[in-house]
Amino acid sequence: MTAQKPSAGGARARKRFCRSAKSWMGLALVGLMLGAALAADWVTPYKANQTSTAAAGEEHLANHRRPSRRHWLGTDANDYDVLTRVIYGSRLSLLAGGVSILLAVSVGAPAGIAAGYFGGVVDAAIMRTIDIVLAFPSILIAFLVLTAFHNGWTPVILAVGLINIPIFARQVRAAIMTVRDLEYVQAARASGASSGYLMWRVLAPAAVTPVIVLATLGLGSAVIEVAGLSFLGIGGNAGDAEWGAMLNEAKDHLNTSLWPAIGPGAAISLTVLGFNLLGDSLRDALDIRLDAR
Amino acid sequence: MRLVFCLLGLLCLTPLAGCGGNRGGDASGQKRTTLVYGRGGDADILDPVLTSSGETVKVLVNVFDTLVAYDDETLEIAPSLAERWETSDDGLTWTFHLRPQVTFHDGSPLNAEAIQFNFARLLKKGFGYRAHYAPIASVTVQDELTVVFQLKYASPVFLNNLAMFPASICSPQAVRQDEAAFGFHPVGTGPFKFQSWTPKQKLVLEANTEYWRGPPGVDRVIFLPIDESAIRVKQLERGEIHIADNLPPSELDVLATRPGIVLQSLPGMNVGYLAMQNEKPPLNNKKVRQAIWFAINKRRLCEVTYSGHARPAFTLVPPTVFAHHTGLQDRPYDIERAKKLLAEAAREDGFALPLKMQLFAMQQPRPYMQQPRQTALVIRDSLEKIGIDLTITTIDLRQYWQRLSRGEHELALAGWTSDNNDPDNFLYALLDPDNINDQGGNNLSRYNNAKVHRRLIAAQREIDPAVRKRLYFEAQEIIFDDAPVVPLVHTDQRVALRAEVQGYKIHPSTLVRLRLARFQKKSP
Amino acid sequence: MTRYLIRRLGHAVATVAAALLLVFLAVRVLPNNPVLARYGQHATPGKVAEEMQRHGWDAPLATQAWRFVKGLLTQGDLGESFVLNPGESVASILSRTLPATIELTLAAMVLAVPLGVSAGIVSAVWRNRWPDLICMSAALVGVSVPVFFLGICMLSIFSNMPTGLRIPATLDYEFHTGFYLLEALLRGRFDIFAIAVRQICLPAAALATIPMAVIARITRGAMLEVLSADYIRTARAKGASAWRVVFRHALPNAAVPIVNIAGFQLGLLLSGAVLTETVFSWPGLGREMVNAVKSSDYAIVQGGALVVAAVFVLINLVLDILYVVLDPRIRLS
Repeated sequence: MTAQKPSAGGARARKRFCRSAKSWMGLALVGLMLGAALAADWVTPYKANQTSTAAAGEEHLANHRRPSRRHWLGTDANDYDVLTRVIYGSRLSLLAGGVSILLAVSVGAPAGIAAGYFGGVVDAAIMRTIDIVLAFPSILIAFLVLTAFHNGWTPVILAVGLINIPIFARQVRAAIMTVRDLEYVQAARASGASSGYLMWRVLAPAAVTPVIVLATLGLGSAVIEVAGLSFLGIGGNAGDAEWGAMLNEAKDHLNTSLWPAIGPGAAISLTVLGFNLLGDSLRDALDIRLDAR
Repeated sequence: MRLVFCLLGLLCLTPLAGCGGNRGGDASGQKRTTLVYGRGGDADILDPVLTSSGETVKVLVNVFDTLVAYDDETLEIAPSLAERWETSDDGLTWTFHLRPQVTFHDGSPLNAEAIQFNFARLLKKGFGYRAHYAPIASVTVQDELTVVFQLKYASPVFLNNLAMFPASICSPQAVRQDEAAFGFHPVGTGPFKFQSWTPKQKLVLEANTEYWRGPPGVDRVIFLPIDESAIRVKQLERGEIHIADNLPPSELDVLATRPGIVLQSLPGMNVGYLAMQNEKPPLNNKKVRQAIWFAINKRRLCEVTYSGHARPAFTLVPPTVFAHHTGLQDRPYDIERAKKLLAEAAREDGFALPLKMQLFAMQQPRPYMQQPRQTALVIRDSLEKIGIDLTITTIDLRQYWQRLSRGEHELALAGWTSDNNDPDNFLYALLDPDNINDQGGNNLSRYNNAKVHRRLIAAQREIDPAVRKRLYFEAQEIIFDDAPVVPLVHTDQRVALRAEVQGYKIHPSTLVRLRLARFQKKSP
Repeated sequence: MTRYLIRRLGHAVATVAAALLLVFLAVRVLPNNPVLARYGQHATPGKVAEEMQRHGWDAPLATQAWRFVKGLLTQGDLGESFVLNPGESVASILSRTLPATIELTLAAMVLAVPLGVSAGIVSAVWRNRWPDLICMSAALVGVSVPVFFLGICMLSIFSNMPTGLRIPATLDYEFHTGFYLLEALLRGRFDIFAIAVRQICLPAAALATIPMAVIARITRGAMLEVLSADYIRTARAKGASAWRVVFRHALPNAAVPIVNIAGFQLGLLLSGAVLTETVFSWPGLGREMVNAVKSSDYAIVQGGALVVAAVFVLINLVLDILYVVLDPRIRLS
C-alpha cells in the first residue's frame, strides 16, 4: 500500500540532492564535527586528562597564551588548550542536541499522528495544549524545567526536547491531514484495518520525509539552544568541555584574550551552518513545504 | 474593517497626548562633578539593619555614619559620631559622647535618643548580624549628647562591631515616618545624601555640603550595576565609568597597561577555601581530607588562575588579621603522599578507588573567590590525579549558601571577607559547632570539635590580647591537623580607576568610602 | 468577521489563563526556599519562618492561588520581589524592565524588516545570480551564528560603541515613561534620541540578524511564487516596467507570508532578547527573568512569565487580525 510513493521520486530526489553544492558543504561540515566527536581521543593535541589538559609544564605558569604552534587556538584562563576543549566539546554538544531532537520526535510525532488521525476532541486537546506551550517564549519553558532540576545535562536535554515537541507535532499533523482523505487511506480503512495499523503503517509514512527534514534543521537549532542555556549558566555541569559553557567562561575575560571565545563560537556556528545547509538541500530535494512557523 | 484601523490609529496616538508640552528636564547651570562607580551587582535594600549584601554596604557607608569608624587609611578605630568614649575597668560600661551639631539629611538632630532608637531597632530587627551585638544589655540616654552601653559580658570586639555597617545611625524621624519606605530612601548623617535609585539601572547620591567633616570631593556619585565584567572594563576604558570593581585578575592586568587607568591593590582581609562536608563518608576520615589538602596545587592556583594576585592560604585567618598563626607550615603539594593517605583511608574505611564526588561552585565571582569556576577546575584536575573524580556543579549565589548550609555538598568552594578585622569572625563563624544548622549556618564543613569550640568561646570573652592570641593559635593548630577545610588563597583586593580620580584609596576593611574622591583639575 | 474576532479573542484569553495556571504551579514546585536565598550567608531559622508567613508562602496551594488571582484582578497586584529587590512590587519591576525589552525588540525589527525584505526582493529578482547567492549565503550564515557569540564578537570589534546602559549615566534628563527612544522623539528632543540610539545600536544589531535572515528567505520564496503567477506575466506583457511589476503587483501579493513571519519573529525575539540582554548587560525583562529564575524569586518569575505570555498571545492575535485584513479569502473560512 505504501507503493503509493513511486520509487522514481526517490531517485530524482537523490539526484537533486547530489547535484547541489549546498548538500555537499553541509555534509562536509556535519561530517567534520561528527568526526571530531568520534576521534577526539586520537586527534587532540593534548590528552592527559580527558577533557581538559594542563598544557604547559610547571615551570612556565601563565594563562591566556596567544595562539602558537603548540596551541593553535591559544589557551584559556586556566591554561587549558582551547582547541582540545573545542574538539572534546563537539561530543557533548552534538549528543545533547541529538538526544533532545530524538526526544522531541518521539513525543511530537505520535501526538501529531494521533491529532491528525482522530481529529475532533483528541485533535483539539493536543493542539490547544501545544498552543499554550507556544504561548511562552521557548527559553522561559526551558528555565522552568531547569530550575526544578538543578544542574546536569539531562534537564538541559529534557528542556530543549520539550520546546521542540510542538514543532514536530504540528508538522506531522499537517502531513497526516493532507493524506487522511486520500484513496489509499480510505481503502485501508474500508478493509477494516485497526486504528493502530492505520496510524503507524498507513498514515505515518507520509510524515517521514518532513520529519527527516525538520529534524535535520532542528538539530541545528537544538545545538544553539543547548549552548544558549549553558551560556546563561543554567543547567549543565561547569567545567565540562561544552561549547556554550566555554563561551560563558570566555566572556568574562574578553579583554584579555578573544581566542577562548572564537574557538567554541566558530564551532557552534559551523555545526549549525552544516545542519542548516543539509536541511535546506534535503527540503529542496524532497520538495517539502514546511510551515514557516 | 475600518473600525479596526481607527482603533489602531488611536492606540498609536495616545502616548502623544500623554506627554506633550512637558519639555526639557535639564536646567543645570554650572558643570557638576559626577563620579560613576561601576560594579557587578546592585543593592538589595538600603536599610543597614535588613541587608547583608556587600553591594548594598558600598552605598550605605557613604550615606551613614557609625558611632566609631575605621581610620581613613588604616584599621585603627577612630572617633566618628562619637567624639570620645570611656569604658569602665571591667569593660562592661561604655559611655559615648556624641559630636554636637550633627544633623541628619532630613534636618533632624543627632542626639543620644537617636542612638538608643537605632540600637533598639538593630537588636529587634537585625537579621544576620544581630549576633554581633548580643553582648549589649541596655542602651541608656544620659543627656542630650551622652549615651551609655551596658554589656552582659566584656567583649574584645565590641568597638570593632560598632564600626560595622549594621550599626549605622539612621534618622529616627525618617524611620518612624515610614519604616517600609526607608529601605528605598535611606536618611543618615553621612557625606552623601541619597537621591534616587532605579534598581538594576542606577543609584544616585548627592553631596552633603553640610557634612561635619567638610563637603565631599565630588558633587554627585552614581552607582551603576553592570553584570558583565567585560563590559565594565570597556566602560572604564571609554571613560563612561570612573571606578570599576570586582574584575577578574587577568582583566585587571590588561587594564594596568592601558593609558589613563590606574590600579590600586591591597592584601585582602579574606580567605577562599574548600569546604568539605565532614559528616559525609569518606570525608569523615581525617586522612581523606588531608589527602585532598596535599593534592591541591595551590601555587598553580595562585599563579595561573589568579594571575599571581593571590597568596596560598594554610589557615582561615588572613595574614593581615590579628592572631594569624605564622608558625604553621603548609602541607606541600605532594601527589604521592596524598595517594598514600588516601589508600590508607580506603583500607581503614573499606571504600574503593576511584571515588566519585560532587564539587559545588558559585556562579558569580566574589571578592574572596574571583575565579570560582576556574578554581573548581583546578581542584578537579588535581584530585583526578589521586583517584577522586569530581563533578562540578555551579549554583547561583543567591541559592548557593542555603544549599551548603543544608550540607547538600560533598566539596564546595566558599570564602569569607572579614566584617570586623577579628579572627573570631573567621574561626567562630566558619568552624564552630554553634554555626552548624540547616538554615544559613556558616560552618559549611560541619566541623564539630569540642576542643576548638571551648577555645573559641573563651576567646570571645577574653580581653587580654596575649591570652586571646594563644587561644586562637591553639585552635588553629587543632584545625590544621583535622583539616576540616582546605584553605586555598588570600586574594588581593584590587580596583581599577581612571587616572583623573584622585584622593580615593581602597581601604583594608574593603569598605568603599568615596568622601575623599575628587577629580584632578585639568591643567591649562 | 465580528464572530471570528470574538472567537479569536476568547481563544487568546483562555490561553493566557491556562498559561497563568501553569506558571503558578510550575513556580511553586521549585524546590528552593526563597527566604533563605534572600538572606544568604546570614539567615536564622525563626526569622525564616516569620518571613515565609508574612509573604503567605506557607499557605496551602489553593489559598495562594486564590489570593494571587484576586489580587491580580482587583488591583493588578502581581506580588512583590523577594530576593532580587525585596519589597519592590513586581508591577514596578515590570514597568522598568519591559519597556527596555520592547524597545530593544522593536529596534531590532526596525533593522530587520526593511533590510530583510529588500534582500529577499533582490534575491528573487536576480534569482540564481550573484546578488541572490550573496544575500542567501549571508542569510544562511545569519541564522547559523548564535546571537551570544555574535554579541561577543561585536563587543570586541566595536569597542568604542557605548554598551550596557540605555542612556549614559551622567545624562541629566528625566523620562516620564520607560520608552526612552519613543519619548525623546515625541518630545522633540532629537539630541537625546540620537544619544539613546547610539546606546541601543549594538544589541539591536545583534538581535536583528536572525529575523533579518529569516525574513529575507521567506520574502524570496514568496516573491518567486508570485512572480511566476499568470497575472504578473500579463502585467509584464502589458508593458509595465520591471520595478513597477515588483513593487505594485508582486510585493503586495507576497505580503501575507512576510507579515506573518515578521510577526512571528517578533515573538521569537523575546527569547532571543534574553541572551542578547545578558551579553550586552541590557537592563531588560529577559535579564531580570534569568536572575529571578536563578535566585528563585518566585514573584518575579510568575509576573514576568505571565506578562511575556500575554504579549506573545497579543502579538499572535494582532497577527491573525492582520492576516484577515491582508487576505480577504481567509474571512470566508
